[in-house]
Amino acid sequence: MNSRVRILFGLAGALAVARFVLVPWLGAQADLHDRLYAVTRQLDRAEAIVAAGPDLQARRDTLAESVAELAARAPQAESGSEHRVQVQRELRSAVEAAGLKVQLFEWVFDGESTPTGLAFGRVRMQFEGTLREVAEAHVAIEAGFPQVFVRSLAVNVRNRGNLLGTAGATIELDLYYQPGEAS
Amino acid sequence: MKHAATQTILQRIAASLVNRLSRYVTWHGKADRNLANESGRFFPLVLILGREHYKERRKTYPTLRRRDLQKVLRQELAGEPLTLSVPGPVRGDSREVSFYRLEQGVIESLPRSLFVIPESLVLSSQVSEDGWADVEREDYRYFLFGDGSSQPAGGALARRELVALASGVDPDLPPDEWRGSAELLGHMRRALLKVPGLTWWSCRNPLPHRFGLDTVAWKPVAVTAALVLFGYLVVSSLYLQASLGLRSDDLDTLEPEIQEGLVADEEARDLTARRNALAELWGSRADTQALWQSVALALQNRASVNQVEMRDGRVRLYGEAADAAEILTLLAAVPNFKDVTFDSAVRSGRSGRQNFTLSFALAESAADNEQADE
Repeated sequence: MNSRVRILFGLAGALAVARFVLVPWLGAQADLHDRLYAVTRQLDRAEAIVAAGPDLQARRDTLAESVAELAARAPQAESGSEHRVQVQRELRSAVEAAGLKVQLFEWVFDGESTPTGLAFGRVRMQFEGTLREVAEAHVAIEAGFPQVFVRSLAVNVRNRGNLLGTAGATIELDLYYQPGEAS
Repeated sequence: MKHAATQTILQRIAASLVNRLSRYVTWHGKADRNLANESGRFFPLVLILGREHYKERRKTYPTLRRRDLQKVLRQELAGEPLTLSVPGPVRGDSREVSFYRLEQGVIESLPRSLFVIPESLVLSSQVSEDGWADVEREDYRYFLFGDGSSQPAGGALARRELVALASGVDPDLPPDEWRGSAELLGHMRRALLKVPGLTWWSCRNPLPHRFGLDTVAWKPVAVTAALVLFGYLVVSSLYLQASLGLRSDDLDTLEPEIQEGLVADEEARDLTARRNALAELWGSRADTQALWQSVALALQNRASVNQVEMRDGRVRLYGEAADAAEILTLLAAVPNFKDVTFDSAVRSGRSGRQNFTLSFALAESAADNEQADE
């Protein structure tokens, strides 16, 4: 075979090897390298997470305690109906302890405060007595029930316009509580 | 004056440059000598081959394109010893070509130069067209003619008359006499500048360019290179695979701990958000019982209160007083009350007391109270 033909065959063979063996092989190596890089980064992050594990647990526990402490201001209610009865009873007794006569106790609606994990019930109460008694009842509710938010209050004084005047009051309250799993 | 000085400087620079370049032109006669008249062996750009190292002949060819002539000459000279062929100018319908057959092994033994120019070819420009020259140096004598041909002196052709007759020059015309190497070097320095470009091209070093590639054992080199490449690819692939496997295993091993850590982190985030929400909720609880302070202040100032309303932190007070403005002033002085205003016009009743409706905002939080205190 002529030397030129041999050289041409050799070149063609070399090119074919480069095209069908070297290039795909190098491509596969590049893919492998990329995967190795990605896995290495994942591993680095994983090791960092594992190393920070105890700190994360401790932080979570501290936060859980803090949250429990803040949430404890609202009473735990295992059952919604029982809680309603109990709250009604407590509020009524607080109002009556001030010398007022409860004319209406109405649950307006129940709702949830998603960010806090608490639930609340909106209550409307109407009672009658002197203006002083109304004030005492209001103070008693706000001071005695830290989970209660007074949304509105309307007091009409029918005669005299002083502390001893007869007054009819309507108060609207939001009562926060921690919902139990069953409720 | 200045012009003359500049010319002198330029001439000196040119002379220096020529002198410097002369060192790279070697004349190889019986000994080596460069055109700067320094003896010894040099690595020249141009080699002027002494007359004793080649044989000269001439042949006339029909007018051909230079390219075709080169092909013809190449075919004619194939297989012959190294020969320089220098085509002359076209004369009529023919062209004369000078052949300089180089003595075997001469230029091979010398450092490789870019150009190899026969001595007689260089010096021929120093001879007038009808004249001739008798050249003698280093115990070697030859005759040089105006047409560029030359004839070594020897035997019957040692006598001038016979040489003149044989060469067809006028026997009565005495030849120029060039004696000694120093004189010849001077002639060469001048003549070299007159050598035409095409002659330079024809006098390229005729030795084939050998870079030693033909002596390389290509097969083992290629096999070794291929094996090295293959080995590199195999090793690097194995390394990548092994590393990937090991790191993936490590990642799998850490998976439960990672999950645990991620869950803890997620829970911590949720708890942080919940704690903030709870703090905000409890912080937003307004001290609404403070509204009774306004009622008490009004009653203390002999006002009567007919109606009290509180919604969204704003209290509205309806009542009667001898001086409603006084009530407003009193309430405005209380730190817990903000934005105390009459909601409607104050009107005097039949009893002479003023009916008023005023409203104010309750401080919403402890922060508000502190601001109010300030």
